Amino acid sequence: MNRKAKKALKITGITLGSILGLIIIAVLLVCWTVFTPGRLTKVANKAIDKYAPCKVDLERVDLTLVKTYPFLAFRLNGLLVYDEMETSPSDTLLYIKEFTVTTNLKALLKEKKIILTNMLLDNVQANMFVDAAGHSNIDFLTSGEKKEKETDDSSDLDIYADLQKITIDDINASYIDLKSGTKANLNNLGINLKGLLNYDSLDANINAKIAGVKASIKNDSTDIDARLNDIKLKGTLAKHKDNVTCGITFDLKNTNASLGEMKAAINDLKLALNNLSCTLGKEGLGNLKTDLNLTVSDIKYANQGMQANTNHFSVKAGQVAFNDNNLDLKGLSIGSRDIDFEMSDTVGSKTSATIDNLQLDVNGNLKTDMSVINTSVNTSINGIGFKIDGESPMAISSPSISLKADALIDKDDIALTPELSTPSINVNIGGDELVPDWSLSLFAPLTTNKSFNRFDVLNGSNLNVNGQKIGFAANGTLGGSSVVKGNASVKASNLDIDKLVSMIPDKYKNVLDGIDVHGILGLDVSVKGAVKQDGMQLDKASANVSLARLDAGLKDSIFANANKLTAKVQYPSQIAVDPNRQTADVYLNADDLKLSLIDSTNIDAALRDFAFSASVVGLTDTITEMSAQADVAFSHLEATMDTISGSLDNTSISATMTPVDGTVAFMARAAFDQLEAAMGQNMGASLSSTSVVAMAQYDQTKDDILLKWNPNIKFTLDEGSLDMLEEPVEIDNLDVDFTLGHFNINDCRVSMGNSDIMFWGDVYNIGAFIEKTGLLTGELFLESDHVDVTQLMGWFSGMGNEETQEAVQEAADKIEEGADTITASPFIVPKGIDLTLYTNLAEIKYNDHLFNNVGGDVTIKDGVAVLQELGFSSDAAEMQLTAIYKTPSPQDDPFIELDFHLLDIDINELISLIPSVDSIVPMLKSFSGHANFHLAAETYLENNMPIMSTLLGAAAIEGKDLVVLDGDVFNGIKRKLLMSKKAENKIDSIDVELQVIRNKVTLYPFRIHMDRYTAIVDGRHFINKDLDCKYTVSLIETPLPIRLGVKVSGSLNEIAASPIKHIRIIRPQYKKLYNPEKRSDTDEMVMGIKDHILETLKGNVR
Amino acid sequence: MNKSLIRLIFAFSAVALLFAGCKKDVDEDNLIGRWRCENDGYYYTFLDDGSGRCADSRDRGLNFSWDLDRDNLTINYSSNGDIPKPGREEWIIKKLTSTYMEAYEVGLADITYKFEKQ
Repeated sequence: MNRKAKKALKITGITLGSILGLIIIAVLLVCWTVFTPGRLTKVANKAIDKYAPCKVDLERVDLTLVKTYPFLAFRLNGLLVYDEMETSPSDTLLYIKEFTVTTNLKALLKEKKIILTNMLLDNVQANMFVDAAGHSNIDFLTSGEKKEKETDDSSDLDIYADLQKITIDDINASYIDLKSGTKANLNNLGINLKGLLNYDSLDANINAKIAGVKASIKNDSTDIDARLNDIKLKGTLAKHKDNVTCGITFDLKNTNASLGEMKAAINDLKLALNNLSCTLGKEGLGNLKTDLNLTVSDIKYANQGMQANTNHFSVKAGQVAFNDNNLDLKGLSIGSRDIDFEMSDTVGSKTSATIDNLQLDVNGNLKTDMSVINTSVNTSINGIGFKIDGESPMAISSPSISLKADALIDKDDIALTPELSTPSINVNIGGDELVPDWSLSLFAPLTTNKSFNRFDVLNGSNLNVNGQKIGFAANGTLGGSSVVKGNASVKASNLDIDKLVSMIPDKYKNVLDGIDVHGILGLDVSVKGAVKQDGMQLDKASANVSLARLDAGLKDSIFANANKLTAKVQYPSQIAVDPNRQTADVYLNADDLKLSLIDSTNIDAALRDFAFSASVVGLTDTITEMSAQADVAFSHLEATMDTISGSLDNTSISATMTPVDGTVAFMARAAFDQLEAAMGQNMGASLSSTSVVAMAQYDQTKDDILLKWNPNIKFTLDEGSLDMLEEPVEIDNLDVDFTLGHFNINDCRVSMGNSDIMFWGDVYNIGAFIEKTGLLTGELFLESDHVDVTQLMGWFSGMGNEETQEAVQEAADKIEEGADTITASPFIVPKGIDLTLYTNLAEIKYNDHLFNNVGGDVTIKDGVAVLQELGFSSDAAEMQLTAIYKTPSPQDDPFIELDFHLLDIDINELISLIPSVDSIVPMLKSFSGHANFHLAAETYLENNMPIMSTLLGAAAIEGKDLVVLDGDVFNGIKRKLLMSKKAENKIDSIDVELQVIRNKVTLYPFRIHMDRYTAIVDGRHFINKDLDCKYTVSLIETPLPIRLGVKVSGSLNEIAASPIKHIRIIRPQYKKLYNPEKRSDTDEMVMGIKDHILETLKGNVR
Repeated sequence: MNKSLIRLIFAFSAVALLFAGCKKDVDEDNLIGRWRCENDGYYYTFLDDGSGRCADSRDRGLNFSWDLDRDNLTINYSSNGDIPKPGREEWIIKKLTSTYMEAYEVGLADITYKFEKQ
């Protein structure tokens, strides 16, 4: 109802009240002077004519005492106020069929007081009209000629009220406002008030009813319609002095309202205010107390495709108390049943919700200015269903939801403690059951202020989903330069990963394809920062993750187990402090961690007391600008890979990464107390306290991995052993420094059984060598006090047999496949290298031979490997060996040459050392004594075999006073051999020279002289398929009368098969060879060659 | 008697000198060139500057220096490496033409090597 209509009604009421007052006064006056109805009516009509601003008819006025004794009644009948507005639909503005008021006659007569005792108003019809131009049918009350004011009451009468009964019946009213489109009808209003009503007190029973009220406003902008039927009000009302008590029941049925498309309907509404009490004095309303009972049935609401219904809605309050701006609520209970909600959007999707039962219990108190509120709200919702149809349908259902909320507002502070729980909730989206009947609870106590610009979700807040409980807390501010700014934390201690995984909807489980994780998860995450319009600002963050009984697998190839594993991420770093860059720390700890890699080769590792920590500076920088430090430590590691197993004790590794000149520099330190490793059953290694310091500078522009990392490594080992031989290889010390510029072996001491080795030296320009811009140079030193070659060869014998057999089998396979020849790849001596290994072995034991001062140099220089002047001395001999191996290029044949000297060697030792000598000079094993042995040879190689056309070599044996045969045996046979009595079993001297040129081996004649016998031996054999040979022995001095010689010729196989056939008696040769004065030219040439061979070979002895 | 004895000694000496002078000269020019040895299949090359080479069909072999004294051919092979090694052969040339040569090594007269010039 608009303001103008209100104003009009107000004016109408005032007007009607004024008229009524005038009438009463007039009646009383008339009754006092004129008692007859006709006279009274006449007087009244005259007064009306005189004072009424419009046409008024009064049917009858009378006074009676009979019907209302002891009260004097003044009664009006048929009061009609005409509506003179032409456009008005009715000609009646007001019609009162009967109005009766009684007064105490006694008080009137004696005390000249008009005390009203009863009032009756029956059958009233009021019609108010406003035309389209805004003119009202009551405008005459405020416009036009103003009637004379009511004349002053000259009498001394006072009017009082001491009402015992007020009856108003059948009041009807209509209001039509064409300008605003408002229509209102009030039908059959009846009020019955019995009791006592005076100026001092009130004590009455009230019954009021309205048959119906209709109201509507319909214009271009508004469409409101409301219908209220069968309105009943019943109650008691008492007021004594300032104390007021009352009890009211209010009924309303079949009420409808609409606002545009919005429609609402209530079938039945009952409101009961029992035991209402208050004070109503000069200071106004106070100490208001009441209980409350409101029930509404069949509420229907519809608006723009939305419908909401409930069969029942009730509000009950045990006590509502209001005093001095304080409102107390006790036992306030709001309930609703069978709530249906349905809404359709423009594309036809329908959203619906149903609630079987809703119960809201409120207790609390508040101030009406809302400065203080302290309430407790318990909400229970049963039978919840929520659905959204359409392309992405969603359905949520729960048998019950409970929400408890305590709210406390004190001045600017607000504290809320909501607690939401449901035993089961089901969420289905798009046909996928995302939440399959999980229990859910949320407890989130929070404080804030009325401006909601700060908040604090208190510790103890938690979310429990399907038994998985997560605690959280947050505090901060809202608004200002940030959307949100503050701290937040999430905590959980016993999350079952199996259950968490099972809670992942089937639709999204493919994210975990190949991932299998079991265990108990704990979380402790805290964040401090701000969310701003342009993104998130993280000031501080820490995340602690704990995993207990972890059992994880990735694609059935990587597995991890740990009884307890914790991980922590800290932002910013508490270690790497840099206020201008983003930093972070990462920690990982595990008491007992087992890792397995299942692949073509299985790897298993078990770590105890594993700890990893890392600090990073420059999280948002590029890798070349980032700095990082990482530490890894574990008390024990056991690992196996195929047949390899190992263990590490008390290991610590620390590494740093820093940007340097646009690249990344790394430094790492590693140390462990004990390493045990084994490969199969026969190989093992053990290292004691060991430390490695490694630095590297990463340059991604380089190709080679060493150049790319530019490592700087310092490796120190105090003690270790390799268990790969019959006895452990003991490493007593190992200390090396490695850079691309300088590889320094400070110390390397190894003991192998009876042997010990010391190794040190320097290698330079490794980087330049890799880049092919420089020569790899270096000097290495190998020293030993004692090397037991026999023992070592015994240990190493047979090692690698498998490889050899495989190579043989591979060669056989190739031949079967039709290959004519097997090409073996030669060892290629690298170019660009200038390395020298200096050896100094104090003592070498080989079989029963002991060699002293074994020394020499091994040089590798630009494709040439040189073993230079490797020499030794022993009881049996002194040795010197020089060997050179050249591989000019992979396309060229390798070339090998050697120069070997055994000086003053015992012949037996010589044959023992070099058994092949016995093959070359078979009779040598018949001698004993000392000799010199020289050998030099060279050849190119093809398939690791000599190319015969390039074979060039020579050997020489010099001996003096060589003993032949055992002395006793010799003495027994020397007479039979016609030797002199002084003959000794000695050969004065022997000088054997042989020369190998290509495939020809020439044994130049040498003399064997003993007592009265002298023999010359010479020969030749060919290194060919048949090994053809020819050897002669010429006896040139003998006590016998004839001198003969023997020639053996033919192939070795034929000679071996039938030696007699190949032996021929010949004339002795070289008879004068050792007689310089009688030599022939041929003898001279032979001796020249022999001298040439011997001198050339001896010339190489240093 | 003394005269007769002296004459006899002179006569024997003359005969001896005659036989001693049986060493025959060979034409060194015929030696220059490349020869293939029928016995071992190697190729011998004699250059007029006193150098030469013995190699297989793929020219893998040894360099040498040679000297011809009448029919005595001395060959000194030189090392392909760095360590001095002896490598001397003494040959007696039995027959030498511009295209054919027969020779034997001193001390091994029973094996005749035959060469054909290439």
